[in-house]
Amino acid sequence: MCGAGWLEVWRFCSNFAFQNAVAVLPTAALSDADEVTLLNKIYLIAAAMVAASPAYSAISIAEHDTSLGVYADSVDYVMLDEVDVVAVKSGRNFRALPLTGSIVSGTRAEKLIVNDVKGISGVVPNFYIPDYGSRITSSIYVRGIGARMDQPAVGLTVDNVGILNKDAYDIDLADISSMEMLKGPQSSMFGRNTMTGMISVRTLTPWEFQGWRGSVSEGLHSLFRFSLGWYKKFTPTAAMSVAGNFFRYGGEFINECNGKTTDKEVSGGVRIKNYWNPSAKVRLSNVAYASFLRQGGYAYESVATGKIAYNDTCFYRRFIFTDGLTADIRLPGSLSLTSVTTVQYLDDRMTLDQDFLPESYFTLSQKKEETTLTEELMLRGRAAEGNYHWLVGAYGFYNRLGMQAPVVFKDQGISELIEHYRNAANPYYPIAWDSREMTLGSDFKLPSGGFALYHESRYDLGRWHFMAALRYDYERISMSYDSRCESGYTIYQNPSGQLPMPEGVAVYNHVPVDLKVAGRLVNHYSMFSPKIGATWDLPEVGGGLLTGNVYASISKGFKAGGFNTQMFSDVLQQKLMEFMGLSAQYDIADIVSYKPEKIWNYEVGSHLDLLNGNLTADVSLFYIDCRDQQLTVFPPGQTTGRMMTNAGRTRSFGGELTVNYNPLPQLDLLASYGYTNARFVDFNDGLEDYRGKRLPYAPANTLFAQATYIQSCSTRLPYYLEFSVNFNGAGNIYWNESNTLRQNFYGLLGTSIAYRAPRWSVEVWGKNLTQTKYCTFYFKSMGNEFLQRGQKMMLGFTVRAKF
Amino acid sequence: MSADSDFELYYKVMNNKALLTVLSACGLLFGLASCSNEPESKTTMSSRVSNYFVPDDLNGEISVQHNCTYAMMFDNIKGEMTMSATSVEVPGTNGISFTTSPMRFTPYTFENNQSIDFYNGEASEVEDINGYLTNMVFYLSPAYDPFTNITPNPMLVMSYKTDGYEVRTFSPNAYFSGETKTSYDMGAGEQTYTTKDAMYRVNFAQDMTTANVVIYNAKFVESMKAINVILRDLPVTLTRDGYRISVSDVVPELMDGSVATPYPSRTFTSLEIKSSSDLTKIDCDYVVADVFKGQFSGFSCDRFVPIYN
Repeated sequence: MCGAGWLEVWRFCSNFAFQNAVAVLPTAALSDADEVTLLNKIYLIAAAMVAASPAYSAISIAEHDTSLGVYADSVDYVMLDEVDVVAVKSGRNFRALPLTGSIVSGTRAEKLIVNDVKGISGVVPNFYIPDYGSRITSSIYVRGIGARMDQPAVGLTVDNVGILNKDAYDIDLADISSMEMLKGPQSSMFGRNTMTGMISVRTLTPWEFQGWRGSVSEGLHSLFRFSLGWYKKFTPTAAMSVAGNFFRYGGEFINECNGKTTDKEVSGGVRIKNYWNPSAKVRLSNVAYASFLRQGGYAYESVATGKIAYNDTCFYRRFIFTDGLTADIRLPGSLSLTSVTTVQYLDDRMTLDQDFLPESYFTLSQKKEETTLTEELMLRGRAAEGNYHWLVGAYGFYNRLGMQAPVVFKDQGISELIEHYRNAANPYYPIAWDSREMTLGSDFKLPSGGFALYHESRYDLGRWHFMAALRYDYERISMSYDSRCESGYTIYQNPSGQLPMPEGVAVYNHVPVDLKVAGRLVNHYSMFSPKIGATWDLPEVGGGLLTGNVYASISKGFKAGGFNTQMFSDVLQQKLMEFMGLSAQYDIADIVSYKPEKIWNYEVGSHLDLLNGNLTADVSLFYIDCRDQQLTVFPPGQTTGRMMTNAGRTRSFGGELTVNYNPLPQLDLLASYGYTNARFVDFNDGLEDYRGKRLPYAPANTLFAQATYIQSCSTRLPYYLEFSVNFNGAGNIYWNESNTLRQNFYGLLGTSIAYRAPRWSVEVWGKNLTQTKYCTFYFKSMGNEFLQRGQKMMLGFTVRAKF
Repeated sequence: MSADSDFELYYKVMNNKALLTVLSACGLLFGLASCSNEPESKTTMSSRVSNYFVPDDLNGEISVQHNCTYAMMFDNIKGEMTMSATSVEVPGTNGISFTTSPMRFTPYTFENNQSIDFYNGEASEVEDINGYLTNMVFYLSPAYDPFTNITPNPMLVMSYKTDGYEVRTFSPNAYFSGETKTSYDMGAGEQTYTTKDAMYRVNFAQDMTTANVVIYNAKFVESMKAINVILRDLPVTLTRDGYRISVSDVVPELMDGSVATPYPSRTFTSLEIKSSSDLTKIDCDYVVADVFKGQFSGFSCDRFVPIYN
């Protein structure tokens, strides 16, 4: 099509899209005037793009985007002036290794409006992170296996700092350089909580860019995002960067009780990077990061009423500080020693109207303060012939977590969950609580520590490449708990047995309540995590028409065991019931303790480059055998909180396919599909046998597709228009172990249109343009059903500049 | 917690060190407690129990003496023991005291308990002493016990004859464990529920005319939470074949913290308790709220019964 034709197409599309965007805009928290203002901005920007695009010529995507989507470019992170620990362990190009991985480049992340790890959910096949609750919630599912509480199943490293606490996973990041996802157990190299994969996020370094760069974004529902970074290379051996970001979101979902949005957010952070190479053999770097967050969160809608309506406060506040010091020393004889020392601090507070109802049942206020120290040493080397590479490492950590988590029973909760229950059993001697508020206090101290030793060997034999790794982890965790309840109630003598009891009944007796559950639990475990794999390089066909490899691997991974503190309010409640004449039902150690979860992953696959690199494809088939799976279940009856349990056994099998195709120099097509069939092999919770049922919360299918087209706007100057459309789908997702409720497969349509100049760019973008209705989460509490809906639609624009 | 057998799961044995010492001296300790490497040649032990006096005269009255102490001395090398008692308040006497001549004893270890059988003991004052010494078995005590806590004495189950009476030893505060079977019809036909968690305590008043009965972990249907039920001041009938309790329309009490609260909605429409003649076993039948029919049969202690081929 000629250049003029493309202009007409663009004008038509922009007019059509924005006119219809106005027509389908839902009622939002913003006033109509705000919506109109934002849309006018978007429309003006789009019009400016059109006006500034006189002519077109074909250009190559490669000229403007050196990261072709999900495939690693041949960048050896060890050879750059920065040291990437994940690359140190996994190698510079994972497509040469017996594993499946994906890289989302910074450029693609910008096109997808991705600012955090959740943004690549579904982009990577069989990788799913639902967005619900608040940023304390990072439930990641890979190949059907994941976790909603406590320990994560996927590890996360941000600029060499391995984040231990899942509560700190969901952070807004500026200047993302790449997000790499390694699938399958990575425990042989990374240890605990990398059972199904490892995510490595790199942000921009002053070696890659020097100068200033910033961006401003605005979107519906008062979305505002700002970032600014300064990157300076002082000398060839010293560099520094300071980057900050701010995010504000007004919220989309309204709490009917107070008319305010529930999912509003204010957050920000600053990252300081320092690099110094004192000699040719020594490289030092330090990355310090601090962030704050305050958000409402918890847009849980009642299934019965279709409304979000709860009367007590819900919010989540968080402060994070991390610092990672990396030192890399080149030793004689092709040896190198790398040390990574990190400090991590998290201080957060979550307050919940835990019943999520307009009535006052109970609230939870959980406050945590956690400090973590880690140290890792890695020694690498290779044989003189270069066909044998080895790595040995040692790792140690110490973590100290203090938590207070009082549950306050309020009027309705006391009335319906305690008094009603007790008085129905004995209407002739009913009770009335002394106060209409009762606190079940819980304090915890959870110090933990551990160490690990690991080794990996790789051997190249012609077209064959073999690898074997083994890691030993030892961990010890203890929990000191102190839960208490001080209250009281009066027993009345009600001869008629009528309820509610009539006025003037005599007092029978008064019962003071002074309950205390305190103690200490200690657990320790050790784990071996082996891995073996082999890769065979395919013979090159047709001078570049086909290259690649096939691989097979067997690996073991594990998720740490621990203690579930959320059950203590329930334990205390049951203790109260026992005090009132009903025997206790819980053994504390049995309920709060959970064992490590272990999986064996069997995988075959292939990495292919076809058509002289214009078409790349990664395919994998896997089978996972999971033992002692940690599952989150809600206790039966009218209780609060959740509990962990180790299911008997589960299995998962499936496959993944990712294809990236450039049929034209200016056209990039990316598609990825993941299928998972994850079922219980053996799980009976005492009430129901779930054998054969699908695992809940993980999608059976993920589907992602993206098309990007670039048109130059000038034959002399590097200005161009970029059009991108994407589709991100997931489902079916079952919401319970019995598979009676599910979210059907759904897809979200997104687009972005950008005008890019060498030093600035303007982009308009949209997500879920078809306003697909879908749920990201479902749960049941006290017999009430709740769900969280996905974001309806988001429109916005982003302006970027660098100088 | 894992159980090697139902026995271990549902019963806790109150181990008595002296009893175990005797058994360890005989080399028959079943690994429930540590023992010294050198067997002690003599071991002494005492048991404080109540005496149940059954007259030879069929028209005579049954009487009871509490807090009678029997002392035992075991010669672990010879495998013999002697039994002594002072001030056994046999009716019609000023109290008798005796020490038996040495009698053979046989230790047994079984399931997760131990016992020592003795037989054919005699003294000038008494004859035909037969019995056994074992540990009491009972389910783990709940947190709030309305009466005095159980004292971890070994259980001495013994009978002997003296001065026109048969004397049977028993505990006036015994816990009985076994199986409770409940049947009920709530509109869906007759259904049954069985549990071994419930434990029954019979706590006699000093004069033996009444007793407090406590049912711990009472549960009549699967969906019901276990409760502790107190039946207070039930009249007792003492007979030659053991004691009897037979009442109707008794309002139980349940503990509200430290306060025992009546529960009219759970009235025991009828309750019958019958003990065995050696007072180690009870059979209990009751109806609660005219709906739940309960049957219980259980022991306060276990005795090993050897099988002779």
